Amino acid sequence: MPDLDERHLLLQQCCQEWAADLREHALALERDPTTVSRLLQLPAVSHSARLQIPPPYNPAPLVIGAERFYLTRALERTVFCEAMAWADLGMMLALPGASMCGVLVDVVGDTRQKEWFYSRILERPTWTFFALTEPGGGSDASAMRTCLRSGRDSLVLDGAKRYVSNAARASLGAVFFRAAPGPLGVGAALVETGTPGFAATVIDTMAVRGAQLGAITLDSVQIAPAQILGRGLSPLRRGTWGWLRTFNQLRPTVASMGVGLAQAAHDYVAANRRVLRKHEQDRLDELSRRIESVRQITRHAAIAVDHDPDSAHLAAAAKQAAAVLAEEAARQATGFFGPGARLDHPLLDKLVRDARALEFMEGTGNIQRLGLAAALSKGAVQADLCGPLGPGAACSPMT
Amino acid sequence: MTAMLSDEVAWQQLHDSARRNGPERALARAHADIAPHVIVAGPAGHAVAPAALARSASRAWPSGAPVDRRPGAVTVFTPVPLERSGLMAVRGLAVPGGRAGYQVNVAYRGWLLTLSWLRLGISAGLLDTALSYLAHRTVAGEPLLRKQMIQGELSDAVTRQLAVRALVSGRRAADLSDTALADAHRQITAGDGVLLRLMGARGLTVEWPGQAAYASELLADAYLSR
Repeated sequence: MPDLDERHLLLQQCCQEWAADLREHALALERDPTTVSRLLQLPAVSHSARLQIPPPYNPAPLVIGAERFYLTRALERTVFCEAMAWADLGMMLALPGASMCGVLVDVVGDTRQKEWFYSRILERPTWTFFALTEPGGGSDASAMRTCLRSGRDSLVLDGAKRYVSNAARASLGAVFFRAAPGPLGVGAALVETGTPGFAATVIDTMAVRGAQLGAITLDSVQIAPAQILGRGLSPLRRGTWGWLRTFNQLRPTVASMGVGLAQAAHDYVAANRRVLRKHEQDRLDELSRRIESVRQITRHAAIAVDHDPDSAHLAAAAKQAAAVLAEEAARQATGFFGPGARLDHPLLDKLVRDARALEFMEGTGNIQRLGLAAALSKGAVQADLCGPLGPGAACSPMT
Repeated sequence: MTAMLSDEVAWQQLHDSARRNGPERALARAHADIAPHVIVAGPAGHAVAPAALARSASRAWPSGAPVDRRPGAVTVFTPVPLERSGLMAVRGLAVPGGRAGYQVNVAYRGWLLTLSWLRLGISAGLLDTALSYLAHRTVAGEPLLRKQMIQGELSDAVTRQLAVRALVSGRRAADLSDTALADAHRQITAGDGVLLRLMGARGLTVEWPGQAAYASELLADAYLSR
């Protein structure tokens, strides 16, 4: 059983304390998503705004005891994200900071882009966005219609994006585009939301309302060549390769959000049904064991991707398992209460709705299944099926 | 006070109304067919009803007890995603003889049967939207509807709808047990979940049918015994 080492246990304890403070604001955030901007004094919010920034660019990481944390390793992020999602998935996705865009910048950005992006993040609490999904085409790169073309004095972006977290409150973020036909013609650019032609509106959703999923339109948005991420890299590296590495990094963190939400459902039952009949206790214990098993594969996936950024199959399995777990755990939890449970327990109702959002984050369940099947046919999974998972069996950082 | 919908033509109309317009009108009709100004209370005193009815109902059904509007006696509220749906949730309504009273109440079983038709209508509307979405949404130039994994999931959802339809067609409340009706409602919820998932993030939006599917789940939550 790969337990966390002392260093990650320190981080876990700290994040769990932050999460307990966040939880009480979950329903207020759902009703009024601007609530998060009034919570900047909470440690979870203020620290998240300054984390996920690599050591060369972050002079003030999180310090706990003698340990420094940058949250740029997948295992660290899974510890953080599980705790925040336990507090509230909507809140987790509404936190300011480098977030998903930061991972992309770290993977494909050049030194100047990293300096610019991270310094903007450190100036003040700043929300960022990651605009990949498009109306009609989802996140299918081959169908991407947002285009980059040469204008008179600059480059110009035109297109539309959908379901982009924090789009309406962000100051800057990444826009994925197509500059030429074929797999080498795709890329991403850093865009400031105040640029003329950029507009974002909030989409009314049933779940994770705190994240304010948004629709973006790009109407002749001018950008400089320096804003094209990875412009010094080959077209393959700044395009599909860079995205795949970014998603490999992000999938264990999304999986950890599923684990956190499932744990929240479990803990809600434990806290609000103090006396359980034997068959109920057995059901709750079974759920607990299942959560722990998905937590373990999630940690293995994080360690694997920290060891090898091209590692994908464990992350796909973890993300798929966690999304299913979260939905089932939330739904099972309502079964511990009587008729009208979802009306009597708004937090539980929210867990059921929010869990569904995990299905769409960083690839649907079917995308994960196809990825896993592809890895299986290449022989990439067999070693994990026959021996210790991933690069090692201990949950300590691989260097 | 028990002139509940009891013929298949009326149930089909309810189904079609919910399929086209969502639950509000169909729920108003289902309530009106019991008696004017009544609101149906679930086994623990909950209701999900048209907002106008929730505010004005004078009696709870099946208890027949007056709706006590003293402060704190009845809580009327609306979960955030239902705020513009025209529906409202209610807690604290009187129930006849506790939950045990519900298990032997054939009239209440009739309400669960009516609800199954209404919820099937919402499921049919959900299927209409999912089919349209999957036909137009492409991956690598091919509609999602032609992808084998999608077809498999879609078939599973349709099978659930057909199974419930087969169970309730030609049946009256007296023909069905409480557990059979509860199973039918669970099938509806599970099938809707698959269809919502197949629509990607579109299934998460409040826009039809997300809100209607959520209302359908809350109806099951409020009115079914566990």
